[in-house]
Amino acid sequence: MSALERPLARLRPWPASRWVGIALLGSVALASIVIPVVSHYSTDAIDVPLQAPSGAHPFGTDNVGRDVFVRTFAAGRIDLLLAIVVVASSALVGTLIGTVAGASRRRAVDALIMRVVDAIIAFPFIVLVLGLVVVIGPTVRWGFIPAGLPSTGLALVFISWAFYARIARAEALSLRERDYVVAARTLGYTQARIVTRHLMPSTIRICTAFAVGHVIVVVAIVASLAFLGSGVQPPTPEWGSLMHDGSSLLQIAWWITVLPGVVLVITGLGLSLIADSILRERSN
Amino acid sequence: MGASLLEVRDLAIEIADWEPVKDVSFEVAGGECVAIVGETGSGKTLTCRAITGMLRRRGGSVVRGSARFDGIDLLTLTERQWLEVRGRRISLVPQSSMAGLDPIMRVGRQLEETIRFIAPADDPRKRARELLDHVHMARADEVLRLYPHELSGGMRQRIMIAFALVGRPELIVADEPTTALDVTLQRNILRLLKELQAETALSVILVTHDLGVVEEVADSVTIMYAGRVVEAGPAAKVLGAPAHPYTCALLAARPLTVGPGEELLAIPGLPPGPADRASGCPFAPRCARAQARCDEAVPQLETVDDLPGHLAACWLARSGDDAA
Repeated sequence: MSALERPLARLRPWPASRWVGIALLGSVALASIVIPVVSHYSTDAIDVPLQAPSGAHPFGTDNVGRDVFVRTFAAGRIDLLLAIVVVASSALVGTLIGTVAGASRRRAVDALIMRVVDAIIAFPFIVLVLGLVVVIGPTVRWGFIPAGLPSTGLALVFISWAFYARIARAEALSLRERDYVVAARTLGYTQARIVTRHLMPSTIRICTAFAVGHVIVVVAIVASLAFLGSGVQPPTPEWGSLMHDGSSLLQIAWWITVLPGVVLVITGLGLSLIADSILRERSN
Repeated sequence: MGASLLEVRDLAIEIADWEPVKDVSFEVAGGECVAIVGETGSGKTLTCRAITGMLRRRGGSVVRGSARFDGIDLLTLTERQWLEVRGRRISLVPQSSMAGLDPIMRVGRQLEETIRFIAPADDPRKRARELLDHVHMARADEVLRLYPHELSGGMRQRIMIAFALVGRPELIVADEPTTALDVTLQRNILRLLKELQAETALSVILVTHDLGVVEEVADSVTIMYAGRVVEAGPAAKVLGAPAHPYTCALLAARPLTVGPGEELLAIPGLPPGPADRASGCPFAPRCARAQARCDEAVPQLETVDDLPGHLAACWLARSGDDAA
């Protein structure tokens, strides 16, 4: 291979597990986009309560007669969108803060930032999220954004950035001694330019593998919070709150809890397969 | 050859209570190529760091001596003042070309960024192309669009030299620019440096431990051992009629001097480390011709055989014996 030919690494076929993961996640995402639009029912239209799954209502109806099928996939929109926004913003903020800490010439700046990170990570994750949701106010709503979404999202970003900061700082510490960074500094490039143009593109790449795994955690936490009643507030459909609604009726109407749960599991499985195959590729 | 562009006098560097560089002096005239030769740990790289203002980064400090570059005292420049000199008047070509380039930025973009920052041109893209042509890069347009990992070691080193030329410097400090390359490429890169030097009246300090290289490209040579200059002078004189036993031993250890099947000649022992603080000549313990007085005092650099410019620090060379 001549030096000018591009390496073929990028064309190496993806493992089957990643394709399965993409198919699982993709079908949930596609259903979440399409079903609430094409369904005969809206998320709060009322029919006969507690109908078992049938052709008319594939996932049955809940205790007030709402179609669980359309509510499950309307919930998918909220859950997936929230997960993407939370992961993207905490990855961006965390990587920036971590890179600044690692690249800083003043060790005190680095120490201060990293002690804050340590403090956040030292708390039990779910307890801290719950506490923050309460502080922000679980029923706060911004414009058309449903109640509970801003508090859940903010609380998650507020904690999640710390993980990215830790990963990014470790990478920045080793990059800052590389000749090209030293050269940039000795030629008088500003710190902002070095961080954003020469360090961030590398550190953010390192963080992507963590980000895919992080999506799973966020989806699970969002559902857990709603299940506990502190997340997305009713009547907005959300996987955790759907399952919570049905939990007291589990013996007479299993479908209200189990079927949204199955969709959540399929989502998680799909994400896990993708994350796992990426990590495996990185470690090779 | 013009007047002296860089003049280093009695430079001594201290790191953690140890002096890895002691009383080093040498001069670089305008348009001259000076080779600094020595084995690992002889203080070559630290000397380069001192004259590019990058010593503090390694935790070292200059404790004695001076380094004047075109009337500027390099050793007293502040970090802010260095910005006017580094990359603009004195450039450094590093040892490893891989670490010197940002791995996730296309070569062209990096080069253009540096051009905009150091020596803004009307058309940075065109100037980047010119620089690559200048270092004889084949398929320059294509190379500008590639990432560093898509280039060979030799191409990367050419690009590093192109980077060093961005600010049109008067002096290039090349710290073992060919160590990471294979032998045929080493020659090409050094010929390139030599050619650029001749074309643009550039001065070059070439740090190396390859005497074959020195013979080919250097005008004068400074041989360092254990942080001291042991011999210095015009390349032809130092290599043709070496006065210091260490230089003789280095020349004898070259693979070229040995026929097939014969054993390579090595210098016995190791250079002194931080713990060795003997009072005599630092090379005496390994020297085949050491005498009693060699252990007593350190010989100073003195003119050999009344030849101006050829200096050696050896008691034996001084006594008028035929040292070679």
